[in-house]
Amino acid sequence: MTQSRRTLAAAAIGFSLLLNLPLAEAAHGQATVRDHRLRYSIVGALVGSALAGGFYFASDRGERSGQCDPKGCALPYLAVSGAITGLFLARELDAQRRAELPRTGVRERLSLTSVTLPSMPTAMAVNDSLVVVLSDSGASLFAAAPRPRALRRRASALSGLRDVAITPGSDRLLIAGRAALYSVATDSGPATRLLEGEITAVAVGREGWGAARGSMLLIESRRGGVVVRDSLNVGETIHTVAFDAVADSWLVGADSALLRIAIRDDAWSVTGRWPTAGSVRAVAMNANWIATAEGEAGVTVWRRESLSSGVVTALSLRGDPRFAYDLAFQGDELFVAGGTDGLFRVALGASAVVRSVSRDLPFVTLIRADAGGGLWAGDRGKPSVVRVETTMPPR
Amino acid sequence: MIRVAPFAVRVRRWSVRITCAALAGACGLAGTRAQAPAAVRVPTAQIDSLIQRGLSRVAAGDTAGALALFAEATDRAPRNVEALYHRGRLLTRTIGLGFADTPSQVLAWRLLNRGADLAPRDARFALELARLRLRTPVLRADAERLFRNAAKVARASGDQAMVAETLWELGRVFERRFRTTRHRYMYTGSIFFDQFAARSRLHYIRDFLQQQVRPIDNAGATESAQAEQLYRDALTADPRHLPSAIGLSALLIEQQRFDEALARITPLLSEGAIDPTLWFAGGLSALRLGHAVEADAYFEGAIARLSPNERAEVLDIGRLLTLGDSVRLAGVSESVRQATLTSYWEAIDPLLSTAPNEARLEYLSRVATTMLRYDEPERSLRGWRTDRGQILVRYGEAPVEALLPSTDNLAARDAAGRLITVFYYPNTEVGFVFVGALSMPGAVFAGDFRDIAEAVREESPFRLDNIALAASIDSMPTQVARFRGTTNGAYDVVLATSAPLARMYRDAELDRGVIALTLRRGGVERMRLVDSQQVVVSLPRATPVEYRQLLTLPNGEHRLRLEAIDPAVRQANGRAHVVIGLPASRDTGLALSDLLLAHRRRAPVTSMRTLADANIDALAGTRVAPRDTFAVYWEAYALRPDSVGDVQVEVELAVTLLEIQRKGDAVSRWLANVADLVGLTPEGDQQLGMRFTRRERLDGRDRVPLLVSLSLGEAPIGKYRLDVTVRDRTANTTARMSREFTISPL
Repeated sequence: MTQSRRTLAAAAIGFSLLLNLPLAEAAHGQATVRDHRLRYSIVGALVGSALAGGFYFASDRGERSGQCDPKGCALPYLAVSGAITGLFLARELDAQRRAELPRTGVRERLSLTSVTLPSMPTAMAVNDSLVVVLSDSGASLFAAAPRPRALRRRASALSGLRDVAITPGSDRLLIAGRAALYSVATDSGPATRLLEGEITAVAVGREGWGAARGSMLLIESRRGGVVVRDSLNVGETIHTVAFDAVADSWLVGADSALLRIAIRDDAWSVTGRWPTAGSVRAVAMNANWIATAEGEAGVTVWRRESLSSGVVTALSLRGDPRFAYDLAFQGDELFVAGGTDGLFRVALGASAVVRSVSRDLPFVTLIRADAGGGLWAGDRGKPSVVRVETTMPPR
Repeated sequence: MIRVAPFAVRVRRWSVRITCAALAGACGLAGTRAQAPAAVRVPTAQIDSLIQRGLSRVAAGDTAGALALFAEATDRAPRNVEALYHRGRLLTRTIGLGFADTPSQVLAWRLLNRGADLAPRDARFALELARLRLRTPVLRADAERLFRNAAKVARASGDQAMVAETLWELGRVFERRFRTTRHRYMYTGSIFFDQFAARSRLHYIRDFLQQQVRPIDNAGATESAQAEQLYRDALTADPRHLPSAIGLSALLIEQQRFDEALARITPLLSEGAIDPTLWFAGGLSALRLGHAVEADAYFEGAIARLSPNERAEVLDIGRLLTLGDSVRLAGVSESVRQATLTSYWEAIDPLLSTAPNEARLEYLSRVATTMLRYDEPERSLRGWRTDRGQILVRYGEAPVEALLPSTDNLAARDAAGRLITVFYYPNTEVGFVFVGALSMPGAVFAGDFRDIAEAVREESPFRLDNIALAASIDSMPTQVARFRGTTNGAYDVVLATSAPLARMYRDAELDRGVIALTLRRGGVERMRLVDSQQVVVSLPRATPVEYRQLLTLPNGEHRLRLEAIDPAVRQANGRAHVVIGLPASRDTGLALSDLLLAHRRRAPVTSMRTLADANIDALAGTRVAPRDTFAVYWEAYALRPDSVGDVQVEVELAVTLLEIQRKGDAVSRWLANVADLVGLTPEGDQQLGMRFTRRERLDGRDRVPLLVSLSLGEAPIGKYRLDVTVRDRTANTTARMSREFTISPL
């Protein structure tokens, strides 16, 4: 009777195990992970059986009387519990692998050199010699070298800092904040207020700067040897400003479009408007391409020559990363900061294709390329600024 | 005496239970399959009527009545899928998590299985079967497979709403796992956590967390990623599936991905989503991104969408008061409660100049957090009502949250075999311990930690020390002096204060500060803006910005709040809050006004009639620099004139050193204090004594202003009291007034 009950119990457990065996379907479009459940279950069962065997050989018949019998009791129980343990272990490992696997492209390991920041990075500016990262603690300055070196901290104790730009020559920083637009020397001295009121974005141009306040673009430029400040209402909230040196004009990322602002008839005006799928968080450009990061809406990329042609066609990247925080060009390759999804390397051609994804940065939200082609990332996971080496080919 | 069965016997018992459950399930499956003929999808009118009546009973909360009607429907039409579904579904909702409801579980399983066989493309049955499995002891882990199966059926039937529903349920399975593994700690020592020691031994929790355990890296990351993907898939199937949007935003907020959460939530809120939890999630995300105004709007939207009872609960500040105060508040009329509510939030608002109210926003963000973490829709339980939720609302998110394996202490029965959660607040060294079932959302106070929580509540019912702004506010030295007004029932109140610029801008690298000074006044009702100024200062600057105001106020109690802020600088926040009482009845006998400490601007006019004639500037605060000469101004009322119309007063001034402020090490300060006690130092001595008489023509005045200049020479740095005694020589009456002040370097 006891024997049959044990057999029944073992059968019941085996039955419930069998219910678990069907393989979990892979998420749509996701690369598959080899299933290890059967292998781990067998290994677990073998380990359990080995333990039962050990018990059999190590114990005397006399000692076992009235206890769990090695063959009828210990063997099935240990084998089944070993199999269950193996099964759950395999499920866990498979799930972990599946979660870590990029949904598109191949996984890439990057060589990273990081410097810890006092708090989460909110904005970053890079030129040939300097990396400036904004956080709650002000602006942290680093030397733009293969091994990042902390230089100094500027604009300490200022609150609500949003965006930063470095003037040509690296002698001053322009910092957009909740209360004003500040100008601060990169070496020492206090910040001065250039504009009162909330400024959401700032960029430096060839001979001046552009700053955004709501839907107003405020531009300081040099015309005819005179410094002139103009303002232009673009009609929708501006989130980011960039200077396009190739076209000698400003690019403004707004709620639903990328706008080009240039001088026409001796006044600043909107000379181009290209709709986007979402509000533009960041703009990046090189000699051939202009790209925007649009958060949930992904990334939109335009070929420069198509913008001046009659038919504007845009490449887009939707779904991966699930949230595009920021982007930067390195050569003709586009790097997209995808938050917890990682850093995406995108090849541009007839379409935008994710070549590889690096999950080495836990929460990458900022990415910039320096003049020498080096990539710099801001990571919120462990507040840090990271020099990214991309020379390694994707595996 | 408790008898514990031997391990082998217990294992045997469990194996029998598992077998029975598995076989019962299998038999149910086989039985229904054996009976499964072609589906009968069109119910009769009578069955339809029974189902409708049953649903009406469900809506009215009569579950037993509804079950009886559904049972009648399934008895009369055993193959009616609607009857099978509604009976099986309602039975599933009534089943608890233990073994007590096994017969109902088996019955519900049979009904739903039969329905699934009759309507194999109807995903509702597969979904309910999975939900039922989730409530089945031991076989709970199998629910994941059944939910996946339900999703497959829903996809096959093309029912996107059902696809979203099943994926959401599946996502919740992983979210629960995430929440019960996220803060997991592993033992590094040999001692198990002891809740009794945590209660009785000081620093036990701190020492235990530091020495006996360590957090497991990336615990729950996989479960979180799986849950997130499932919620996203659900939203792909049905973009307006609010539970999935809530689940996804909860996960994103948990990982501080506030931009992503807000991007998900905002479109749904713009479309007028009705679920208040989603609005709360929007508010929380916006607040964490620093968009306070937006957050306030979302929170108000959330409150408006709560049911009346829940709204009253959320707006009730009783949970933020001591038990006694909450009972007292519950007993007052509605109008008084509303006035108290307004005054409470205003009083604890760190800065009234920065709208909206940061304290209230923080409270609502905590409520939002409890909803996203601890809401249990199946039990209609809101997160703020749970034990963990109550603590979170009062003290904020615990800086240290640790999930520990079960204890080995047999005396702690409630913690045996359960997951232990520890909330620890290092600043106050307060910890709370909870226990909950493994992989399940609920947790309650362990042992007598409910009493401990109440004891902590008595000492500090609500803390806002996690608001950065609150920690960066400087106090502003203030002097207030009350004088009788020119009309009966009114007072002139001098308010003099200063913004300590050196402290406010101590680390700021800025060439120019722009300070907004505001003065607000109110009684019991809401404070209103009285004055507002903007002061531009060149930096660095050591001297403070002074602010003086002469207010004419009616009798009663008044609250005055002066704030000085520079929004550009993180720490440039100053605040002074004063409550002054202005008595309604005035003494007809000799009385003195408050003593006003001031600096002389120029010589006073002869025969002063009012404060303005004194030509003085009130000191901003009650601090005097060493060796400084300062003036004391006061007014004497109801002096009796003599026969020629003159008043004669005899004035006595005394300055007493109350406490010497010493620097140096602790030992030398202690020795000096001992010397104070035995009278070896000047502490307690009168530093100045002065007496004079004055004769003045009253000349129709209702008061006699008096002005005296004082210099304390080399008086030591410390705290002093100035006592003024005025004797009316004509009436032979005396009145006294005092003011404490300090001598210290500016």
